[in-house]
Amino acid sequence: MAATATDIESRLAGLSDASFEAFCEDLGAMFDADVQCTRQQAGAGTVEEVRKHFKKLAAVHLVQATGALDGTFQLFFDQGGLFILSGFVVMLPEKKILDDVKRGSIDDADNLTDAAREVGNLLVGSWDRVFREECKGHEHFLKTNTFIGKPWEDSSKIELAADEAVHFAIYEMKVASYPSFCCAAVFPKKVLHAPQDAVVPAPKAEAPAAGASAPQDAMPVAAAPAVVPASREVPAVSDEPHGGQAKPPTADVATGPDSRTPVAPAPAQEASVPAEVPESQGLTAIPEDIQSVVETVVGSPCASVAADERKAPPSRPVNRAPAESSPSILDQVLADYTVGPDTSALTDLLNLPARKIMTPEVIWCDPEATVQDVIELMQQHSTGYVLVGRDGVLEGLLSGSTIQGAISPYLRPVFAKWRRPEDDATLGIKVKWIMSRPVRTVKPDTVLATVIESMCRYGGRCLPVVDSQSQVLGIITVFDVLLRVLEADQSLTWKGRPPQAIPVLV
Amino acid sequence: MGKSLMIVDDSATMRKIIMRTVRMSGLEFDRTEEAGSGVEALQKLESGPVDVILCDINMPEMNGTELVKKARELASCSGTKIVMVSTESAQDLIDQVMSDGADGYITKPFTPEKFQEKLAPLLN
Repeated sequence: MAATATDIESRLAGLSDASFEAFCEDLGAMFDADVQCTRQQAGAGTVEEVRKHFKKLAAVHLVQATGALDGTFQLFFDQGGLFILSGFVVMLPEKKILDDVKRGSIDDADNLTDAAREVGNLLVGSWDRVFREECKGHEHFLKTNTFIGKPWEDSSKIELAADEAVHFAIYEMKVASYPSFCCAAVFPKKVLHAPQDAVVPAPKAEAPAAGASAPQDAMPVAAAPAVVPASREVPAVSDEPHGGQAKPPTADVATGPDSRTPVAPAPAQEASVPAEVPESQGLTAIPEDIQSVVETVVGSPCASVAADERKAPPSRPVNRAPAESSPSILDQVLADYTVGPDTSALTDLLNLPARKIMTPEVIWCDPEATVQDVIELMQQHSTGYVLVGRDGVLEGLLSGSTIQGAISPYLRPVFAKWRRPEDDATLGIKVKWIMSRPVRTVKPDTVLATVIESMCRYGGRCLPVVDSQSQVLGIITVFDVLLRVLEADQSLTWKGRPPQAIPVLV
Repeated sequence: MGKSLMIVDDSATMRKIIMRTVRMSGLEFDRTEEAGSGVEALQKLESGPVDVILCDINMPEMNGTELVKKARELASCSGTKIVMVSTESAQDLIDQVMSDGADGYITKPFTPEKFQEKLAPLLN
């Protein structure tokens, strides 16, 4: 059947339904969420009919159509749609999204420009696919721009005249547990001047008969809302939040109004730093005059305890309890070693300065970065530790285990079936809420013995090395320590094992 | 030896979405990199190859099809699998990029299952 502009016009509402339905399905499948869309109204008139639904901030995607439709048409999302869809795809905390829906400013919207554009790309991809399948005259849809702002302050920016004659279809869309919002497809009448050879398949049951001669009324007003479910099966899991995270330290990322909210970040992990380092017996193999320094750089004054620490080995290998009069971990290690004929190697090893142990390559992130950002940094740089700070000022430390503890266990592939947006939201937690602080650091001339003691005493497996101006020079991880031990004098053997055995610190 | 992945897309948002979807797919990569343009991707590829590239088509400076052609000229990328990820679903475009040297094509919107279906055979 040869299509006319009237043919296409008569099917616009049905095609819009199918296209928004496809978008809901695509979005739902991509982000494992329930997304639904219901047509509220369809018809023809001027943009004034559309305007009343989009008085506040909006995202307007401009779509260049070729083929059955020819020209630019517009896909609108109101303020709710702008912030919910954009925030949803970048996994902003639910509270932030809901705040933006109510009070979001143009600056808030601008921060989501990239996300809004991607939503538009996905949307137009869905529309293009539906039209390709259901409208033979269709050639291509290309999203040419995404406008964010108040569309009617200067409607030329969305390529609509104030009195433009249009056909429109207005929908209510709902994403997961977020409040529903309004979206619309607006087709200027000039777009309907389709090429003469466009062919439109026979309309489905919901579409009116082709060939209606009254263009102004051809786009039917929906007698009953066309419910467009995304056909997503809600996982059969409890609504109780899983993960057991505690409330965040401020309302900034607090939980939402019900239990189906993003899991709030764990409270900041304060390092347990004893006020005083207890005295215990030092290592006779280590010179007394080594100026080693271990200090706290964040959260408390730079209490230099290092000189004392070197003389005060911890009483237990990994225990934050106050030291007692028992032998230090290094004393125990040394007692368990069968020392070879030359003990100088061990002495040299334990006197190795931090500058020769550290890894100079350090990965930083901003306190406002998200867990997702840090995971990517760790993967990109194959590191288990990221320093948090700005302008070289160290504010906190993140380890892989800290990150692992902050995200929902349901993000693991094995639990994919039960994964919900709330689980994804844990990836959006800002690292400032979960980073370890205060951070213990060492000076470049701190010796290995002190580094080991500090790690054992306070349980940290990573110590930044800072100079006198508190500039970070590198980090020492427990792996760096182990590497130095393994590289050391091979005459060190573990008691009871053959001399060839690789020395192992446990 | 673990596999490595590079995601090339001018949108940071889309790179994150792709990264997340890859993780949800159950595919495991020991190393992942990102590039915001074809030029940046080539610079990274010259310093070290990767096993799989997921590449957008519509990008400024150098689009995805150009990147495929140039990457195929790099000796270090002889074994690299390049999979295009795009909202463009026109068959003629898909045929074109496949003939230019791409190993696969994933249309947006995508799902973890689609990534598993398209990438797992290439990794094996």
